[in-house]
Amino acid sequence: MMFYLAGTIWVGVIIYMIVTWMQRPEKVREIFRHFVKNSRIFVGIVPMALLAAGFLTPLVPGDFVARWLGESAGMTAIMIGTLAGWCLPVPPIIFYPIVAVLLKTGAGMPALTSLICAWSVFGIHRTVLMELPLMGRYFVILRLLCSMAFPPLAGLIAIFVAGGLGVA
Amino acid sequence: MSIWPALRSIIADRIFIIVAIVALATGVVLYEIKGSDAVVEALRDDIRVFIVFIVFLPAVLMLGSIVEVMLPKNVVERWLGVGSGFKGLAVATFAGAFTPGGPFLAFPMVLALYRAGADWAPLITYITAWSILSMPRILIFEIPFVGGELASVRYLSTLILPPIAGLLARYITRVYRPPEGLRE
Repeated sequence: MMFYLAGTIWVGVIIYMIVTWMQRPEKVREIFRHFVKNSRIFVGIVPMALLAAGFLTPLVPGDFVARWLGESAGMTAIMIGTLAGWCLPVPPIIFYPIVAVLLKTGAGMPALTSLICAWSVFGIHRTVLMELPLMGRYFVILRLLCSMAFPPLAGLIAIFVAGGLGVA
Repeated sequence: MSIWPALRSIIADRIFIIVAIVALATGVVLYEIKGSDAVVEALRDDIRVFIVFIVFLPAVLMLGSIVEVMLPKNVVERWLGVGSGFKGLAVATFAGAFTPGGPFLAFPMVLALYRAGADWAPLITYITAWSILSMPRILIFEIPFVGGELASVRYLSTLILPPIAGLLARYITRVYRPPEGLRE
């Protein structure tokens, strides 16, 4: 499935670039400049993160993860996922390898859904750095109030979604 | 741009150093505990994921760069001006999911709309959608690292949440009114 998605994006991107190049070549150069700038961090960090995740997976005790975060742990797993997501103020390049390790060592989809949801809603680095100074206290508190219940809710929905898609 | 300065800026990055040290340390620990076979097996697993990255990342980064360059800056502002009805919240969710770039693009835009007196519901919906459903982040990190299954379960489970946040925001701002002159 992943390769179909990648293929679709590749075809779309190439066609778009050819069409743009025929009409406005200067835009193509600008797009390439952005591309080089955006891809720089992925050259070094992504391979290293993959290495770390790969080495970490066999070291994590699988029965421990399965017991606390597995499908059978039910609501407990969802709450642990939520709390962990709130307590992990790390950038995506560190967060997603952790999720990958947990998935491989026996964590269930509902708990990981809660984990990702809590991490992305809360994002303390983002909140403190950008949101608080720009938008002010009222906005931040309002937004957090509105999405406080989301991570456990998302975990509960994920039980049904995973069942429905047959990937539980 | 010559190769060496670019390479040096990659290696001197703080996160790179941290992740490299962690990779090295876990590698050594794995070798000590489970021996060289476990290390080789871990590397073999890594190569499979790495292929996914090589196939995936350039295309997605290219797509992101196209959107960054070609999307007019005021298009999101137009999207958020649709209002706070059902359609407005759906559009705000869509706009949040597809806004390219990091917080340095999303927040200043919201701030401008906020000062201009936009409704609470679409603003909160937009920021919530941007933080939960951000398409660039999902294509670049989530799918390559955790795979299509978890990514799709996760995405479908959280898809309806941003409009709910908007509706809650509308209710809360009616009950607990924001202080006067907040938006100046």
